[in-house]
Amino acid sequence: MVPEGFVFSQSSLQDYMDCPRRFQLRYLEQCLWPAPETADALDFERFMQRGQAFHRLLRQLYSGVPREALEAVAMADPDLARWWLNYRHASPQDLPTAVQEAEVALSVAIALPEQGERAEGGDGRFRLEARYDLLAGEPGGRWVIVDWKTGQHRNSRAWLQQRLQTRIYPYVLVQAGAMFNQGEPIAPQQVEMLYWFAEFPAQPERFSYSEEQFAADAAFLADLVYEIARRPEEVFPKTEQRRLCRYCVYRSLCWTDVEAGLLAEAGEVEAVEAALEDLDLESIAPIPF
Amino acid sequence: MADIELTPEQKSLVLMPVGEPRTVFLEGPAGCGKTTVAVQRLLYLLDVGVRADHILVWVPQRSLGWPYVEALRRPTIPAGARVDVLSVDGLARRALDLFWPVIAERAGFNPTQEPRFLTLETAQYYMDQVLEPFIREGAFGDVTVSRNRLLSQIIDNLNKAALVGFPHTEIGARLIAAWNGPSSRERVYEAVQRAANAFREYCLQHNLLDFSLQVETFIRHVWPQSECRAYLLRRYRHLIADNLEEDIPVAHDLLREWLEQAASALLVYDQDGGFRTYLGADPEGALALGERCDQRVILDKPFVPSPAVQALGNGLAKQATGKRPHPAEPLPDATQLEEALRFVEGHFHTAMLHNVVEEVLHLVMDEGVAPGQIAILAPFVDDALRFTLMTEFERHGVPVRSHRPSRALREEPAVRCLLTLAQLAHPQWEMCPPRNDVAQALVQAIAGLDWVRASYLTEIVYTTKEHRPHLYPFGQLQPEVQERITFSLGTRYGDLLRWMEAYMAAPPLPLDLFFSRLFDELLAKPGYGFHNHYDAAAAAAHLIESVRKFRWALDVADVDELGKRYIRMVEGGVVAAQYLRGWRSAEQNAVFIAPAYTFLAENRPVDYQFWLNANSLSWGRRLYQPLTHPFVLTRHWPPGRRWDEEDEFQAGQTMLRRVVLGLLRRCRVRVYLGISELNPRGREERGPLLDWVQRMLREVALTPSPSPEDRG
Ligand code: SF4
Repeated sequence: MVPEGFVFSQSSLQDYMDCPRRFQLRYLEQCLWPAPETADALDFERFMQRGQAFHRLLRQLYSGVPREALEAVAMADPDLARWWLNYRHASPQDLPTAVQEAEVALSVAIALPEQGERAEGGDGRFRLEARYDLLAGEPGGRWVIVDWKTGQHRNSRAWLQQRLQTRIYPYVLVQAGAMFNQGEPIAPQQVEMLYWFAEFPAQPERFSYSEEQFAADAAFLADLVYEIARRPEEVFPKTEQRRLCRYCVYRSLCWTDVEAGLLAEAGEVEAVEAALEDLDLESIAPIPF
Repeated sequence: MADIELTPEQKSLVLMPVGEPRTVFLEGPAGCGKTTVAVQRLLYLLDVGVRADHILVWVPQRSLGWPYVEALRRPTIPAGARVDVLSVDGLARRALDLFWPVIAERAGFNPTQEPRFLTLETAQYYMDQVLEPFIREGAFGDVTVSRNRLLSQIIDNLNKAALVGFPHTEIGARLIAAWNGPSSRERVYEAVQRAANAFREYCLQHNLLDFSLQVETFIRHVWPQSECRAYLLRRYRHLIADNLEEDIPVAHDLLREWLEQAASALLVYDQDGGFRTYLGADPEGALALGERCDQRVILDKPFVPSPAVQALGNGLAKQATGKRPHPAEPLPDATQLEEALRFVEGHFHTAMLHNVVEEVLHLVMDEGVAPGQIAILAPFVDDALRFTLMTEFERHGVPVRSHRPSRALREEPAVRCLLTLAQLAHPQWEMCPPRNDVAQALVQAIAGLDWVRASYLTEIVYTTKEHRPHLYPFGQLQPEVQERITFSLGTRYGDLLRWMEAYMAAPPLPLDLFFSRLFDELLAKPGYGFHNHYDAAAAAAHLIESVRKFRWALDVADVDELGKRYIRMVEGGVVAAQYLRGWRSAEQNAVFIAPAYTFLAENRPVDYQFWLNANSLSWGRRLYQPLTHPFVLTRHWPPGRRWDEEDEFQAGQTMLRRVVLGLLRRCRVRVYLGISELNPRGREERGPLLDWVQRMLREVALTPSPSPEDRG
């Protein structure tokens, strides 16, 4: 049972798409299962830490920290230095400058189909949240959602296109972005999603948005949430793509014969990609006082 | 917006036009609906289109932010950004994370390296290292407290300096100036100062930020920096600050400056609060903020306590100062006392507890009171008290919850098992766990292995050679021994041993990764103790998290050294000592057993309260903390004045008054006082709370009862 007030995100819905059981264990049961994400757990940890450090640098940059101060931090680590230089030489082009907000989270109510207000953001039982690395826009003009990617390989356009992130981020911006647009709703055709790859700075990937896509996404997301909320099973079904289990911490809970995979062989496994999307300041443990 | 009933007064506060007046100070006793107003005001701001990310809800600690967090989860909240609900240390942490490259050098750190934020555990670890030479040289002389309490009090001193806003180098001098006893203690305070200095130096050199340094760096280096301050003021234009009386002086300083610039601010202050004074809360400083606001509003009609409980509060609080807290409110009469106050007595402590349980059972079973409407409170709740009560209620099928689980992390069987297996898998550490621990670890690790077989197996397979632990393979045992253990259990033992041998053949891993792999590759599989065992897995997850943070904070390249240090710290009670909230959320409709302060911090009123050991001296007495001082290390203690017995007495009376009023403002129907002639140690005791009660009863007996009409 999904509790009232549950906040869905692109990672939780993607988890559900990949494996309903994983969604159930992770988000509904909040099951802590302390297995390593990959067989080379230290490499994974380094991958995560570097990714976080780069995201932090750009957050600082777009929050007004002087470039020179960041330069010194970036240069202290070879990977960070490379990504930083890549950014300096080939940062995303023609981003609107009127509004630039780093690490911003927007959320919207999800109305279930039975309530008859599919896309209105009306009175639903759940919310859907999107966390943007960077939102750059011009009131009345273009709005670009930027996502920094620090993986070792460049994701294909086809793979990015089918990711829920590519659908949810623009959808939520259209629904919840009026606050940035002088109180006026942002129209779908004003929105663009841009993936920028730290290792492949000259090959960003862009996705434009449209009224049709927005309507399709609204229906799709309402149906998806409806399906999750109405699932009758006590135990949600497991994925049929066993390969995903190699990069899932619940492997020893679900199977007896699945071993952790290597980071380098993960390819475009969503769990590995999503790990970085999930990190934000909320995950920093509170300090006891 | 508002889906709850508000009084006209509350409604007018909620619906004030944004910024007119710009700043409002809302005060009143607890239970008068102030937080309700503030939550509804937040929803109103969102409704009228204030940007959510421009609102900061400011609370002294996370638990007090829950009403806001819960309200913000509602699906009816307009689409938009997120409202931040933060305490000053949370704000400090975010600001440091963002502005580190700008301020690090000026604050004495290395700006090219990231800050390493210390948890309480890792701060204690470093303090332990710093204190080692001091302890060796006997620097703390006549003060006999455990090592853990020693280091936590020195950390506490650093925190106080940061929260109050005085240089940490003044800790010793302030303590010495107020000391009123033998001069030998002055040398101890000098040592406390040297230890605090050494710890701070070490932190600065290694980019380590404990709680005190996070707050101090934020206040001294981030906030004064114009671009940082401008960012924060621009970001958070609307403030809602609740429970100001529980907040710390530097938070009040910040708020005072913020108020000048904020587009709107609602500050909420609980009269008679300030329960966290011993943690640095400054109710007087909070009240002074009222003078900075454009409008002051008082809400003083309590919704929670019945008139009888209110009158009881007035009657008791009067005993502390001779004055009623709220002169307009009546003192109790005999009928009200009969209604609001009962005694549960017993000659022995155990008899009193028994009678308390009986009374609770009567309320739940005969009168249909929901268990969640009952709280059993004491100044301190030790393991024995908690265990006795919890067992009794569980025996009668009454749901019960406590302020903390019964075991610390390091006492969890799953955790003890992992720690023992780690020592066995790293013989190079030369740490040989006792036989008993090895047998326990095998019971936990191997499904179906009972204690008798595990002890027998351990007796035969476990040995130590040249300070190194060693386990023999199952196959080498005599057939009759194998038979007694059984073949299937022996196979599991053999697989565990083979896993460890394979691990030992490769270079060692950091301890957290060792645990993680052992769990994933073996212990979570069928035939082993963690298989489908969610609670054991969760305990293991918390242990692994603790080790990982330890590793990150220490930055020690030698993984063996790291593992050994961690295990020693566990044995010393420094790490893995925290009590974890249940990983399944605790049943809320349950009798709540907690220290009075914890109940106050949860801020959830109940119908019935039981105050245990009401004749104990502990009501109104602070913890013994010889190396720090919660009243001297404040802004209000006059420099050079000595702390004497009268001060101690007055401080106790003030604290007791606050606690009593705080509890009664969170009690709807009745309080039961649990009194035993002999305390748990078999001695007679008579503390101030019982004195107050008896004085009040005498006064009431001498006062003619008013008619119901007189009472209004
Ligand atoms: S291990 Fe596989 S089946 Fe199990 S939750 Fe993970 S992805 Fe789903």
